[in-house]
Amino acid sequence: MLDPQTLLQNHGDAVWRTVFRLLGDHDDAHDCYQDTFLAALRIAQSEEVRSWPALLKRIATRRAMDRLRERYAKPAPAALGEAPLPDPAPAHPGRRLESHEQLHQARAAMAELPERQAEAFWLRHMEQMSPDQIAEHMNVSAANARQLVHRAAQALRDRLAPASPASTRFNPALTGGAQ
Amino acid sequence: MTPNHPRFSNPQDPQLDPVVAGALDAFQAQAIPGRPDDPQVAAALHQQLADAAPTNNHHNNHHNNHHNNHASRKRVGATHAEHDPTPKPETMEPETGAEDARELPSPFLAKRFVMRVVTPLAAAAAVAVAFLVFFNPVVPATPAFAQVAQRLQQVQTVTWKMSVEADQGVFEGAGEAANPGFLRQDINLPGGHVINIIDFTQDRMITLVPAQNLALEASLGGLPESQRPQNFLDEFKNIDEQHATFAGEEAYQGRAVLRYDILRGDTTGRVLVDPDTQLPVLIEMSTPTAEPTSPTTVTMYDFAWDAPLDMARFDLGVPEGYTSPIEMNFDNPTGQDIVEALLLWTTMTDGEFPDEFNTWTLGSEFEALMKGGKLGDATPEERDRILQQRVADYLNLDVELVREINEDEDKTRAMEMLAEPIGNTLGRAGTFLGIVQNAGEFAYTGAGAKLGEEDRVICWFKLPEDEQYTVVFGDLRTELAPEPPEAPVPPTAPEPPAVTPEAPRDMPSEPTLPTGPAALPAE
Repeated sequence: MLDPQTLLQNHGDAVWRTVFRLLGDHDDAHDCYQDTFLAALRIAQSEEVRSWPALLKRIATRRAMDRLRERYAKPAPAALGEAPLPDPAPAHPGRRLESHEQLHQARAAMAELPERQAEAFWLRHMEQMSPDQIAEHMNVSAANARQLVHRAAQALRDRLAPASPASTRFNPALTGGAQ
Repeated sequence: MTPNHPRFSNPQDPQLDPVVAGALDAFQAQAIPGRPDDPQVAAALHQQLADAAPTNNHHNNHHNNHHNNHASRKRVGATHAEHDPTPKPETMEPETGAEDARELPSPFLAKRFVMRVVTPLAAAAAVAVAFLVFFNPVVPATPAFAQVAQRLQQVQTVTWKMSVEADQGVFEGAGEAANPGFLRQDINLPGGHVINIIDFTQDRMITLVPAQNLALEASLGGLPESQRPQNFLDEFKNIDEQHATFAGEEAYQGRAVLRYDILRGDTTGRVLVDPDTQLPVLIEMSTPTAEPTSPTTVTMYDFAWDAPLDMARFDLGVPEGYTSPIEMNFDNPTGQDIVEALLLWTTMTDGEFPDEFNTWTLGSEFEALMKGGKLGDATPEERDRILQQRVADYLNLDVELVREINEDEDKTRAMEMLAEPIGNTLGRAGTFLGIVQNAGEFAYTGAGAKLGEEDRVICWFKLPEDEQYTVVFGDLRTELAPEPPEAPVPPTAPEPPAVTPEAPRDMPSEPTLPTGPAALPAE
């Protein structure tokens, strides 16, 4: 089995980028980072790993998405379009306020996606995996992988696009079941 | 959001929607701090690996049979990632999956592009949830029913036949359930025969439409906690003590059985129990419906308790020969889904609200609508043109694109861009309606109303945990109210049924139920 230190040296940057980009919070990202390597090393104890980068990307994405879903599921649902938690990303001097808000909304929208869609979408667009690679690592067909990515993009577009006039009529309380 | 000038571009997918690209851009533009210290993490990893012996047994023994069925269906050549013992379990992919969408039979959606998908799905989902919540209002226990309750605690499987008598007709079906959370229902609905399988251990559902070899997969998480069984058999076990009164013996199928009358809130009914086995032979429950013309009565009979079940019948995989073109998401249905369905309906009718709106007929009514039922003498071509325009309006698509999609030989775009969003709208609404109709309060008073009538009450509802009623008005705004609004009396409404909490309906001693096997087509 590969030594953890070597694994961290070779792939630490890539895994850290994945988990931090998705989570934007150092503590959460740290937990996921460590969990990712732990899971990968356990796999390596029982079978040969053909591609460490691909395996680590997938586990990191899944772990970070799980954490993101937990984060946004914790509080009672808030009003439509409102992120339930403040973005924990550290302030960046050059970042505009709207980018900050955009990340809030993007994370909330990602957290609402079905698991497989979110994973496929992230692997495709942020980790630059091909549909064939995604298919192999998610154990689906390439066509299915493309569909998952496509559906995720559609769902994200729907969630992130400005609300339609009709939808603004909705009572925000309804999102929580009328209270 | 400022998606106008996204910096993000994936060279393999240059056509990303600007809004989505903007979101990716925001992710990518974040400043990434330095990663954790390698030696420190490495030491922690060493420690954790030493502490926990590795295990490859990622199948839950409790679900062994069922999950092994899934495992055996997994694609040959699966990679190491699936053996990751620690990530959250995922739904396994059947061999026949969404990729088969391209091979849909040619008549499929040729003109009525969405309805053959959404109708049975919406109906099935709604009915499934209706059954789930039906017994929930009947909770904890009384000594009079203690023996039966105790016996039910030991049950691991059950099969039954069922009959649903509602304003819209009588629906026949059959059901099977097994611990720890498997449910299968075969139901003849107005929209056709459907098979609905739910695995609550995965919060997943699949609906099969045998007439079309169609499989529709959906997630079903996030039901209100009060309505979500951890174990479907608990729904039977909940019929117990506190609200069950022993009412003596009565004859059932030529033998003496014990009768318990059920009374809880607006729900009334009876349970007939075999004195030898102390298990129910018939359960009949009535719940007042929204339009107070008659209650909905569900009767379950011909029970087989602890009969050996073929667990493969609970398999969520897509059966051979079936196509699974879309994925539905019924997670966390809310009142907003009702409003959304009304928005869809009024868009499709140019502003008219439906004559009836309930979980049982939502799908079939919408199917009739999409067949041009509200368009009078229009020619088929005119109907298609009008309906396509309205679909485009609802989905905020260019009508030319909708028409182009409708002519596609390959129906992938039709499924993804048209069927999926509309199916989700109806399915989610049907699911929420199933909850409020059976476990909460719901009334629909929108027949004859037009979109924009801001003073007209269209419907109102209240979940058990809600403190106030949510009222939906003709302009689709919603307001909370401490009391339900006074519903207009339908012009031809018959006398309300003699079912009240104070005076349970006098049930016949012999149910008028089919005696042979339920007439269900083979799967």
